[in-house]
Amino acid sequence: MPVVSWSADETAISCLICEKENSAEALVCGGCAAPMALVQESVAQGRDPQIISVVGESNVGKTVYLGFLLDMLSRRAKGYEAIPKGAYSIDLQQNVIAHMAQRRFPPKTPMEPNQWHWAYYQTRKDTGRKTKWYDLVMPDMAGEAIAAEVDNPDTFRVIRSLLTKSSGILLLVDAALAANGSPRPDFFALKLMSYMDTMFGGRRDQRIQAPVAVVLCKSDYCPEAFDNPRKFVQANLNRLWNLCESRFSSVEFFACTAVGSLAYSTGGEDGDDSYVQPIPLHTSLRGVLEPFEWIINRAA
Amino acid sequence: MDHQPGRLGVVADSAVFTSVRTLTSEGYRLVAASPGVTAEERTELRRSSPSHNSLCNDRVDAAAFSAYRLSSGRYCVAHSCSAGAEHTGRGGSRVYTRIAVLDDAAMEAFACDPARVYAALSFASDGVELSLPPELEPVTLDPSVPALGASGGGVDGRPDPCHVARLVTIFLRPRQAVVVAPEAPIATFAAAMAAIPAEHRRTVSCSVGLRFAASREITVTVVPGDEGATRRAIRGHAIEWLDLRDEKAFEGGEHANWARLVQTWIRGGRHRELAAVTDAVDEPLTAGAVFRLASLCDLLDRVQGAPPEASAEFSDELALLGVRTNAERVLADAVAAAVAKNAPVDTQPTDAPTDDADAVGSLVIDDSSIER
Repeated sequence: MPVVSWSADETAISCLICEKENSAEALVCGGCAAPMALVQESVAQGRDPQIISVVGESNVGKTVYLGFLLDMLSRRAKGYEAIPKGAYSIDLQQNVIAHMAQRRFPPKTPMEPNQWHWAYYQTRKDTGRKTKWYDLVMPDMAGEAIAAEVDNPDTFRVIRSLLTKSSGILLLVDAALAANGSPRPDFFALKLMSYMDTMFGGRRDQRIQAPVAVVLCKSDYCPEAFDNPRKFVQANLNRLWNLCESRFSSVEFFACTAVGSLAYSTGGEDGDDSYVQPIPLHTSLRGVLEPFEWIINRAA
Repeated sequence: MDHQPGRLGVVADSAVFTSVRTLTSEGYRLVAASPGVTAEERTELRRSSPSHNSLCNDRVDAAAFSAYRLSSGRYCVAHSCSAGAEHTGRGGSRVYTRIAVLDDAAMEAFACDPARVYAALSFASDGVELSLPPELEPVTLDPSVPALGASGGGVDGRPDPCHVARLVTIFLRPRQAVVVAPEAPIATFAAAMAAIPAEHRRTVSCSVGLRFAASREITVTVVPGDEGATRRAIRGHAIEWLDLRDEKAFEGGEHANWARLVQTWIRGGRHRELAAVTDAVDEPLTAGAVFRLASLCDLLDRVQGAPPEASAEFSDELALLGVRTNAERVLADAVAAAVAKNAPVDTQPTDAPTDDADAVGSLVIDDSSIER
């Protein structure tokens, strides 16, 4: 039980993520801003949840991906049954669906951890037999916070704590940019994987066991990613491919898209023509559930 | 701002934190910094600088301010503003933060007043510049730029004297707090800084106009309104929620006398004199010290409104109070000067007090400006 007695009148509760002591009255952890309800739920379930971290560069589509993933689970896609634990768990998917329904992308995720969305879901796959329930915690982190932590470890310790405790990691990469020849997605993914390599430690001959699903987002721009994701990564994200091959024993590659078609408007509110706003005309989900499914099976 | 620059400038390291897209990166980060900003300082600046949706309001002219001490011992003062629409087209405005990092000597040039540094930084800024080289030149700040709001009116309006006095009590007994200041928060902060001694200003860790974020590790967060999310975030932690409009929350307290004095003098337009007295205070404001200073200020006020025949009484009272500190000496000298001025005509000095920068020597004002 994650409860420590301070005195006869006060109890302290350790945060599930950063293990900072918080008073029983706290709603949000004073260290990492994770909801204390995570601890209360895990106590109620009698088990610690599995943390699945969705990481990636700024503007790669983490919020949209995670929002749609949670919504698909809520709608029992592919036989999954998912129960949100706490109303706060629904905020993210509601935010994403509401914005996309209005043909707008959801707002940028701030770097400040107290403004991140957290989701705690109980989920299982209905296979007709009695299957195990998994308690999943999935935070929607800001890409800039991830980048800052990767470049300068301990800038945002909550990210380190999350990655250390993760049962699996979904690494989102901008396939459209990579297919267009930009080296930026490759370098960011390389830095992130290198950070995880350092963090998980191990000798040179020991490979990292934590399952990592590399998700090629925005693959509607480069449909060949769906045909053969591994070949796409080898060709367009070669640095990432090589590091995965050398240092990680459980990596798989997936292509994914959420937006069916995109338009662009210019002008903005002050008539500035240099301001370009992308408009998602409709959603067309493909490849959203598969990476999650793979991670769950590996984490089990 | 209508200000003629002084001859001397204070050089400070500078940095810019905002969201831009470059060849190698995208999003909020430290896009430029002068070489003197160390790696450890840069890490803290990244953690403490505001990102998307951090400004308390979405207006085009929204501005915010933060000041805190870095673990290196240097002091950071940052000016944040809105810089157009967020560049990835996801709504909201881009937050642009211009940062100055000062050592103790540089802060001394501003009398350790972060509000004055903020004013100088705003004055020195060329506005929003998104195409910056990674390496910046240090910024030269003019200490003669007056603090925005310290003299009655500021960038966001005129502060309420009651609110200034209440904010002063928070800084005199530092504790973690979210403070609601609905009217002219930056001007209120500037006026409060002028009403606390330099020793207390040195330790100020505060943001004004930024949403609360525990990751910033700032002691006092001043916001314009009540936000449910903030209340949730601080519940169960040793962080107070204080509303400057709530009279009951500030009743009593060890600095009540000083707060009353601050409120009276600000209401009377005696900002310069208040600043002169606080600048003369060179030791922590204990309850006893505050009581003595407030007693001397009260005596000064009574002298200035009294008939000449009461002069001897005031001299006796002054002698009874005695003088222990530099600030008390300053006030005692002012009381003595006021007594002498009030004395019968044949005993008055021939030189009238001049309205010069040394307001301490002329703490005698027109009685009609004081609200009783």
